[in-house]
Amino acid sequence: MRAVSDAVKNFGNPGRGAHALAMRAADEVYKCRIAAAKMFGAKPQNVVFTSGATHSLNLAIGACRERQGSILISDLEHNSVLRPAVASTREVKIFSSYPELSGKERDGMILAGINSFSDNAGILVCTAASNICGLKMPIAEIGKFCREHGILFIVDGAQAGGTLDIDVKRDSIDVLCLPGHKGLYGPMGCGLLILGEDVTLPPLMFGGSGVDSRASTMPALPPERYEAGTLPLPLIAGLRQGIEFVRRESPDTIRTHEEKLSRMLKNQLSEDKRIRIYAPDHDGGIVLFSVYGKDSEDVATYLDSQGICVRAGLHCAPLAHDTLQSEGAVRVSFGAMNTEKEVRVLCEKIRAFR
Amino acid sequence: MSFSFTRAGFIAYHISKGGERMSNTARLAMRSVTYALEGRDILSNYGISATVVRLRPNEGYEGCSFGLEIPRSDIVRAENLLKKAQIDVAPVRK
Repeated sequence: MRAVSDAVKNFGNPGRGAHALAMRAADEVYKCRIAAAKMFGAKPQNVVFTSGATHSLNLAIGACRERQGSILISDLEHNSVLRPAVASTREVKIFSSYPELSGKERDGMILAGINSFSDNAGILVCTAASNICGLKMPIAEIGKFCREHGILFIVDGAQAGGTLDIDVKRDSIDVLCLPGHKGLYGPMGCGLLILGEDVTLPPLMFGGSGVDSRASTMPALPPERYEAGTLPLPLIAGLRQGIEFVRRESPDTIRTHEEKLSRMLKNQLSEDKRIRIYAPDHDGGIVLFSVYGKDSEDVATYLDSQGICVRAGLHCAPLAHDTLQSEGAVRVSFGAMNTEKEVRVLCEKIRAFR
Repeated sequence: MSFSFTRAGFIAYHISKGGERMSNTARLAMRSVTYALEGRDILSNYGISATVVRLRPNEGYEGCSFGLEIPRSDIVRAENLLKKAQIDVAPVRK
């Protein structure tokens, strides 16, 4: 909050003028690029700022308009993947995430499914972890497969960024899309599109870039090639603080903490026969559950009256809910600041719900 | 127009002339503020002081651009270091 407020009050417009306030702003933006690049194994110039993961995914999928072939997506994808994929008018093929399986058997089945669709595939978009149940996908293995088969690989890192170890170079990711406001603990309204090495996409937004103004096309090189218009400097300043927080705490520590709380919640909820837990055997920072005979929105409304904030319904991910055979459920999403005491209180309240 | 730069940015010389600029500095034109800041940090690691400056429209390749102002005595070394960091050199557009 302080970083956002400070930027509003004391910084100029980055990448345009060269006066002191503008250069201070440009430096802040650059430091955020460096922080994000270090976290995700990229070069700073390949870190592009957007308004969120949805914007990044739309830019990435839309930028592939000249690329031939069908688009493959998993059956866990959020509407921010499904909708632009459908809008692209390409053939969309959906491969299974096999939530009923685990370990190497699951990974093998996922890759076999992708392989069966890979003829004429041009793009593959996959979430690193589901936004409704935290179920993880074998990103590195999928990346390797895509690289071997010439398929552009786009990863939705919305639920994984800041907790899972994602490296665009190591994992053969061509485009990584992230929101600022989830696991990176930044403000809402900003996000990242991180390009893999030697990946060039056509720009999708056109406008002022602060450089090469006489050219009627966007600059040739990232990041300015993909950033038209004024950057949301206060939000980027906040995002940098969030990334630094995650780096200090370490993604491993945060993930371990979230998974511990999730397991604690699942263990306690599993004792209540009224409760159905979805993907119970998969570790993640999210627990998805429903109460038999009760609408998930009613459960969420009740919990809100008890001072507990959760989200109910389809979570903009109807594909994922279908995959888990859910018609709507309650999602409890843990973060670094949640505590075991809060989990105990949550369980008490759910038990008391009638 | 298409570009075939294989690496980030290009470097061009602009030797300061006239009384309006310091005569003991020289300028390198960079592709954008991002590459200017990256170049500044690279040169700083080697003890070369570089200031990010805004270039005039006729100093850049396609109009507005950013550059680095560097002590003239360090310009050749600076160019070599930036090349080593895979930043291409291209002639100044006159």
